[in-house]
Amino acid sequence: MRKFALLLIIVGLLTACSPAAHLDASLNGIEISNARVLLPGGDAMSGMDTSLAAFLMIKNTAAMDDRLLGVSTDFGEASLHETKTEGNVMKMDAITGVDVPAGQMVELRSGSYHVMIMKNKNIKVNDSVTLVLEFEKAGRITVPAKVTDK
Amino acid sequence: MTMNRRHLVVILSLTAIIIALAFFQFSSPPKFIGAVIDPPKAMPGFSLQSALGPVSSTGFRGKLLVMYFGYTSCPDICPLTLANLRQAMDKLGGKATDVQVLFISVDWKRDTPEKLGSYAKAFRPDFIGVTGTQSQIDSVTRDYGIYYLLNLPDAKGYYSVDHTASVLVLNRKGELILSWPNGTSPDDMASDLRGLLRK
Repeated sequence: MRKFALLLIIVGLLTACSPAAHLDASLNGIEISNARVLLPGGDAMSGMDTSLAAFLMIKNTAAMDDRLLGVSTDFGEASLHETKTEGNVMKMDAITGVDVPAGQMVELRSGSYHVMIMKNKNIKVNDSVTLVLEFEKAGRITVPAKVTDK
Repeated sequence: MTMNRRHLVVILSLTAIIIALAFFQFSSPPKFIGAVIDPPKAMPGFSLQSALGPVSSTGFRGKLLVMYFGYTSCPDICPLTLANLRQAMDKLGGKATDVQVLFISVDWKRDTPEKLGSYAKAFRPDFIGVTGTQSQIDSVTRDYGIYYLLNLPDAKGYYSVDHTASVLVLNRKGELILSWPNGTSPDDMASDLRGLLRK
């Protein structure tokens, strides 16, 4: 009995210490986590006429497939893009949406789907900004995102 | 054999093993993570425009030259590669003065030398950003085996640029000696640069 109790405590501690995705927002079965805007050159890139990327994870816990249709922000012009590698050549295309099948997790990350942000309005590292995600079924989800340089 | 003599033999043996291991470590050729070009390939020179004036490839002789081709409107791969290069340079400490990172924009239509100057310096003050005319960019990309294509603009005028995402490293004589594929980690880059600086 004592051994069993000790095992439960160890399992509990391990679970508590394990890294978990940080949940930023959820609505109608769609969960958004680890939302961040990359400012890789740090504050020196703030307000620069260049393009930035935002990454995040989308989990669909609903019974129906869903689709991310678009993203908007109040700190720049946002649009959905996909980077592909062909050989060692990088290509990027605008896309009309990202499918998020029922019960699945889709990640917007480097070298794949991402939110492209142009004409950023003087955001700084560690700022908290807002992304508004428009889903076909779940609707509009407002997500806080941290500005980070890595 | 007395106890003291036994101790002496053990200490001498261990010392000999440590010296042999150290000799092996420093005398064996460094192992590289990037693709090594062997023998190093002599490369044509080039002259491009930076915010501070013309930049010639021959001006970097005596240093390792790390060349990355991209564009400043690239949201994903280009800035992350430059951020990785910054981390690799930071890891080199004082030895970074023997390495020059050169960001070459293939987007000759949109990127100006002034814009490239502030963009490259945002990552690290000693990074240099350059570009050129279409003919200069065509020439340097052809010579260095870099593919690029300016895509057609969308309704708002934005266009993406397809480009080779490898990072090239030239040795102190200006010969191509190493290339890293996209996604090479800062630790691996720093390790390779240390190995090349020892050569």
